[in-house]
Formats: sequence, structure tokens, C-alpha cells
Amino acid sequence: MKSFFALLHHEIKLHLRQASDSAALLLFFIIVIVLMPFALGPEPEILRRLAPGLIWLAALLMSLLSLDRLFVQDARDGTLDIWLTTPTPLPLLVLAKILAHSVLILSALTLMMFPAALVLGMDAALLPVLLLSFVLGVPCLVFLGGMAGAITVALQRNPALLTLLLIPFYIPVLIFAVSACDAAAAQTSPASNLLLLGAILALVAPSAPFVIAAALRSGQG
Amino acid sequence: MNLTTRFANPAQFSRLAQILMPIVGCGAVMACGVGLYLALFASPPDYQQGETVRIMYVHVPAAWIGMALYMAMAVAAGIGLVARHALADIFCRAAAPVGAVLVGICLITGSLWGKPTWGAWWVWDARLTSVLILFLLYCGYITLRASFDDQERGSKAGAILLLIGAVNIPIVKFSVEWWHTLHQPASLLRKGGAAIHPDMLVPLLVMALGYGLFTSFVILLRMTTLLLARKIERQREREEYA
Amino acid sequence: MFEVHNLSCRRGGRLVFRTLSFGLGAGGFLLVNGANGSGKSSLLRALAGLAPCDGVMSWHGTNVTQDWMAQRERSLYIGHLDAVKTTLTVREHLDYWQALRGTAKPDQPSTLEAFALTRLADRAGRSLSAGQKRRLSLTRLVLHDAPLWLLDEPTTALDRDGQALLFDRIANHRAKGGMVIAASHDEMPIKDAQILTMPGGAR
Repeated sequence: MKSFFALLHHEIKLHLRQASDSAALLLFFIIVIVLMPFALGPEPEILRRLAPGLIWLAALLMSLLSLDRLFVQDARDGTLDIWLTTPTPLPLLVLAKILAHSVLILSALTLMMFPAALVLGMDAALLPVLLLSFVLGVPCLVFLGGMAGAITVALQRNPALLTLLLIPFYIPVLIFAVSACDAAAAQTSPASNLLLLGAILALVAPSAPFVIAAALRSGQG
Repeated sequence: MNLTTRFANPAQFSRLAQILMPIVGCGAVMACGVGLYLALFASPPDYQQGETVRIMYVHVPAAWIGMALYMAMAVAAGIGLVARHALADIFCRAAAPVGAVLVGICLITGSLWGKPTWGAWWVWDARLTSVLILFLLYCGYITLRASFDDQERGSKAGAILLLIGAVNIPIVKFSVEWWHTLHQPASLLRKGGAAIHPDMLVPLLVMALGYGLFTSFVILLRMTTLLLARKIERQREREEYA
Repeated sequence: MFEVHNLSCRRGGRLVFRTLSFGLGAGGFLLVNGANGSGKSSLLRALAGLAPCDGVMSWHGTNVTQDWMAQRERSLYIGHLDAVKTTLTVREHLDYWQALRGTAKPDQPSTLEAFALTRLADRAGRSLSAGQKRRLSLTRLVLHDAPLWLLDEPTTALDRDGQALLFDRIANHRAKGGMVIAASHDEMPIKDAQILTMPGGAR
């Protein structure tokens, strides 16, 4: 247990040390947001109505981009070998890594959702629901991304393959997250959508560490 | 002797396949022949859509078999991971392109059906969208397997992908249905499903049988080919090493 | 007593080695040599549980493949990648590796001294030379207590002093009853070493 928190602390420290990479993620997010009005037209009504979906789309793309640092770096420098030969249970290590990564992405989004909402003219009353959808949805994205990343860790870096593998899994998360915000925007309760999002998280979170551990073990040769 | 272990021996499987293939192949030709006759000539046209409904007999069975095949692959993947059945992975590799093509046929014929019926080549209808996502699942698996040089590692990675994909399918169906009803576009596709007239149901089932037999034939063929390729590779290795 | 019978391993779709057998007793040292591509690294990875293989491995008679966790506890694998992160200092690496292994904190100064890293304790990974990185990764030998050492090309990038430190550590370990299996295409001045030459490779 103590080592779990020690690991969590180390993983977060690693993320903080790689500040320039993290900044690149924030920048990517904001660029995608800024490009939206140019693609869709500057009409405030359209942007405001689409804002939660656009923000979630940018968040999803940013998550996809960030998956590279989940296992690929460790595989490349040999740390993954240490993970696989240590007597500590691998799912525990995986959980620490994934939680640290989720904290990173969630922090980035919590920060960036304010300027994004501003720029797209999103109703400020939707911010709590948006945040809640991030809290439930981002770990889903990271857990699922971890599974796809672990499956492909032995391959050459191929972001296109990772995206292809993840899209069928990301679509339900996106649907429920954005529908929650849309429901709130229509003055109805977002509860059912958020609960469904929570259900996905409840399914993915306990199983992902074991699936990822199995995938990492079988990926080595 | 356990049914599955009995056919775990690749050589025995190949012999079995040699016997089965002609039978299954002929069955497929007959079923498709009868099915097409029924579909194109003997069945009645739809009161709303007229003759264009006949494309349904090509479109719907493709969806059924494509869907069933993915589940079969997922089950095989599970057996391969847990029981280490020798042929499970060969089956998955053999079946994947077949399933992808079937789902592709479903999408294309769906599109061709849609143009005269709804006036659009594509609509984001719940069912079509789910089928599109199934197509992406197939493509993902095929691309994943193709990216691995080492087929043993690839088989484990692919098996995991199939299993989580199978769990995802009901989630996708539900969420896409949910998404579609939330946004409530004008109902373009008549929600026809509850009671299909037996005159239409019979050709549909016959076609489904034909598709199933044809798919089995192709998969048996591909499996024997893959086993042969593996045998050649092993032989080459033995010679090189010795 | 660590015994291996008829071990064979496929990697990347090729058969890398087959029907390898050897036995190693307490205090023993096995040097695995062979040409490039003969499968030395694959053998070590198979012994560490990183690569699937066919054959029998047993530790004091019990089959290793039935309980990989026990094998991980008793062995320490150091591959030819150093696992050095550019943003962590030497000290932080040791902390991290300890957290991964779940071991209690041993005395830090003597750990750093084992491979003469005291002076570099607060240097970040990016400013270490190849030899220094190697020393850092070898420090894991002192950090963790494991009877079986699996070393893949341990002397790579090490200067003569570094190599002397390594051989010292190995001698120490063997004297306490530990075992070492090392892969190297160099000569290693180790006394009473068993030698396993891998067939194949470099054609």
C-alpha cells in the first residue's frame, strides 16, 4: 500500500518534470478550440450550442495525443522491463500510473475549460456539469487508452493505429458526456447521462489494471 | 474426448476441413441460389418502397453474419487465452477479413438502399451508425494483427482487443440508440422490425443460411491456408537452424 | 540450485535458440557468450520471465513457470537498457526503483558508493554519460536483495574502474551464496566460471 502511494507520487513527479510536454498538450487543446470557429463560422448561437461538444472533442483528441507517454517511453528506456520483473503486483503499478496520468489530464482540462468556454461563448452555468463530465469521463478515456496503449506497446509508435483502436470505445463516453451537458443546457437533469458515464467508469476502472497488466506481459518477448 | 480438444490438432483439422469444404460450399451455392430466387422473384415488393426493398435480402443477412462472426471471434479469443487452444488464433485471423467484408457489404448496400428510400447516401441512423462502429472494430483488429511481426505476441494482443471489443458492442449499441433518440431527427427510416411478413421472412432466412454457409466455406479455406503457411515457416526454420 | 532443461525460445517469429540446458549451484557464475544474434539476450529475458519459452526451469526442484512471482522475488534482471529517465536525479532513481520493488530503504550513502556515484547524487539523468548511466542501473544490484542475478552485457560502456567495481560486487555476491548469469561477448575475468556458448547467430 505504501509503495502504491510512493509510486503515485513518483509518477506525478515525472509528469511535472516533463513540463514542456505537458504544456504542449495544453497548447494542442486550445489550438483545436480556437480552430473551431474558423471551421464552423463565428455565429455566437451556433458556437454556444455546440460548445460542450467541441470542448469534449478537443479534450478527447488531447487525451489521444497524451497516450504516448503512458507506456511507450517506459518501454523505450527499459523501465518497463523493471516493471515486469519486479515482485510487486503489476496491476497495482499500472493503477498508479493510470491515476497519475488521469490527474494530469484532468488538471489540464479543469484549467483550460475556462478559456475554452469563454472563447466559445458557453453558458457559465454549464461549467459544473462539464467539470463533472470530465471527472467521470477522463478516467474512462485514460483507462481505455491505457488498454489500447498496452496492447500496442511492442509495436512501432503508430498514433493512427491507437486512434483506430480507441474510437469504438471512446464514442459511448463522448455521447454520454456531451449529452449530459446538452441536457443541462436544455434545463433538464443531466443525471441519467452522468450515471451512464459513471457506469462505464465502474466497468472500466476495476478491470483495466488487470487487462493492461496482461497486455503488457504478453507484449514482451 | 472433449469436442474442442479433438480438433485442436492442426493436421486433424486440415483433414476435417478438406471433407467439410465441398459440402459447405455446395450448400452455400444452393442456399444462396434459392435465396436469391426467392428474394428477387418470388417475394412480394414492399407496399412503401416497391422493388428497392429487395436489397434488404442482401443487406440484412450481411449484418447478421458480420455481427455473429465478431462474437464468434471474441469467444475464440477467450478460448485461446484461457484454454490455449491451438486453432483459436488461426480462426480469428481467418475470420477477421471475412467479417470486415460482410460488414462493408452491409454498409455499401445500406447506402445504396438509402438513396432511393431516404434520398441520402448516408444517414446517422442508430443502426447504420452501430454497424459503422462494428466495421471500425474489424478494421482495428485487422490493422493490429498486420502490425505485428511476431504472430504469437500479435495473437495475445488481438485476443485482448477482441474481448474488450465484444464487451463494448452492447455499450455502443445502447449509447448510439440513446444518442439518436436524444437528437430526434425526422424519422427517415420506418421503424419496421416487429412483424415481417413470412413471405419476406423466409427469403431472408434462406439468404442468411446461404451467407453463413459461404462464410464458413471461406473461413475453412483461409484456416487451412494459414495452417499450411505456418507449417512451411516451421519447416524452413528447422532447415535453417539445422 | 537453478536448473534449465531443453529451453527453446521464439522471438519475432524466428526460433532464437533451442534445447538449451544447464545447471547452476550456489555461488556459481555462468557466462553466456556467443556471436551477435545468437540469442544471449533472449535467453536472459526468458530466464527473467520476460520472454515466453518452452522447456523446464527449476529452482531447487520446483518448477519456475508455476510461480513466476517467486522467480521475480528471487531474481534481479538488468538488461542492456539503463532505465534512466532524463528528468530524475540519481538519488530519485534509487527511490523510484525501491518503490517499484517495495523494499525498505537501505542506507543511501553506501548504496551510492557501490558504483562510485556519491558525487553524482543530485545530477539529473540527462547529464549523465553512458558509463555513468550504466553504473546507475547496476546500483540496483546493491539496492535489492536477490539471490539470482541476470545481467545482460553488464560491462557495456563501463571504464576499467567501473568494471572493477562490478567484478567486486559479483565476487561478494557469490561468496554469500548468490548466483550470477551474465551474457557478454567480452571476456570476463571471473574465476570458476561456467561457460555457455550459444550456437547460431552472426551469419
